[in-house]
Amino acid sequence: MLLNLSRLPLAFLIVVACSAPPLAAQSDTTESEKFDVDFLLSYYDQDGDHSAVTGGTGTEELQVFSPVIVLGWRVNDNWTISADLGIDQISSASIGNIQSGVSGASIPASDTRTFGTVKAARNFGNHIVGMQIGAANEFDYGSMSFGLDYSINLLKGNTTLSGSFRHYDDTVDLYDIDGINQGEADRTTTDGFVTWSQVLGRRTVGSAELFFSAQSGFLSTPFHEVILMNGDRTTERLPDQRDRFAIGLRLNHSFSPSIVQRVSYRYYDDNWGIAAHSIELETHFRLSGPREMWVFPILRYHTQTGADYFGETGTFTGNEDFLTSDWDLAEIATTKIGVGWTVLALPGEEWMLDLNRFEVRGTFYDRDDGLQGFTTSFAFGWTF
Amino acid sequence: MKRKYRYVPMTFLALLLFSVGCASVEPWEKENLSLESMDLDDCSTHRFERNVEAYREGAVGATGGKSGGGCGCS
Repeated sequence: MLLNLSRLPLAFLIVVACSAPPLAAQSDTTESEKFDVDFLLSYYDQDGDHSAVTGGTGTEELQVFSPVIVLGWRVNDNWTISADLGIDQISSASIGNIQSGVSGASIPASDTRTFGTVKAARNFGNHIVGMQIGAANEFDYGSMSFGLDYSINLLKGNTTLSGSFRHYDDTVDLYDIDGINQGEADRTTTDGFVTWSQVLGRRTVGSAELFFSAQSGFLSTPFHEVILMNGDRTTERLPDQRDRFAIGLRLNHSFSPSIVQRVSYRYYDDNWGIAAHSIELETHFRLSGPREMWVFPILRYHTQTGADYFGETGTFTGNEDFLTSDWDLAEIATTKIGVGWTVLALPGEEWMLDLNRFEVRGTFYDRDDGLQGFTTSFAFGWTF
Repeated sequence: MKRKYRYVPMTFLALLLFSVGCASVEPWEKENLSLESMDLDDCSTHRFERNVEAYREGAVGATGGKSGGGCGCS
């Protein structure tokens, strides 16, 4: 599907017009102007045997190549404008299976998702107010989003409270389990999150985040198949409303200028029956040398209960109100291990390609139902 | 609000009040806190992994990554 972009240019102009810094302010504080450019490159490769497209069985082989460019313009001491634009180039063997032997099927075996966001933020002393708009598009999905942000620094910068609001209006093209377009439907998502960051000592900092989300509309994936007890095929059916809640806790402690321990924990709960715990550990070791250079192992463990509507292949009669064989919604546990490396150039140093910062990260992801994935990401950053 | 959710705002408020008693660190004492690895936000390269976790797991939120909107994921 092509996203209806007719409203996007107007929305973009409104955001830029409302956030445009006054010309007088620009000329008074140009020495604080700074421009950041970050280029991110990620590759993901997965496989498994529980494809939702073929009723919870079959290959989940998929590759994603994702370049993203992130721009940040600190116009002066008061104004910051940022934007990101990216592409997910997706190749999926399971999507291609929809087309086999079905005339009129029009789902491509490969897909391109494009996405972008523009943000503007204004600094009022201890307060920062921000606004953003965004859009995303792929062959069967289009999304427009709007967001507001607010933060305040207290107690000599030892405490930061922030709140954010996001609203998404999405349109889904209804390609059924035979790949035939049956029309379109709408979906809305409204998110709110509140974060409290606190300096706990000269070597310790922590944060707590509360997240709430309300979704309504067409929340199923129309080409996800469910194979019934009698062998018949039907489309997954999920409720048209979903409320989600999560709390995230983070704690970073510097044992020395060369060793930093990062710990994070997240609890999640929703009204579809999923409750989850996630814990992540990173121990950062600073390597010797003139530049700030860190290497760190990564470990993450996640466990969740299954959605009330999930069932394995052949467990449904077809008379249920809601049913799915999507293993993303099943009772699962996942483990992620990996390693990362970050380098910061010295101030004023002409490092390779004039980079100011470089990051690389590789992780192996294992889900206990047999799905495995590998992710590698690179980030190159320049400051002008 | 569900019964179990009622404890969350109280817990958050209790933690906030507790923090008032935490040591106040002066700007010139924040040398260790300014280390790159002490940043509470995820690094740039973590962003894509957060999206993978949101797609492959039923849980999203409170990690700074993707929420439930803007994608064709559950």
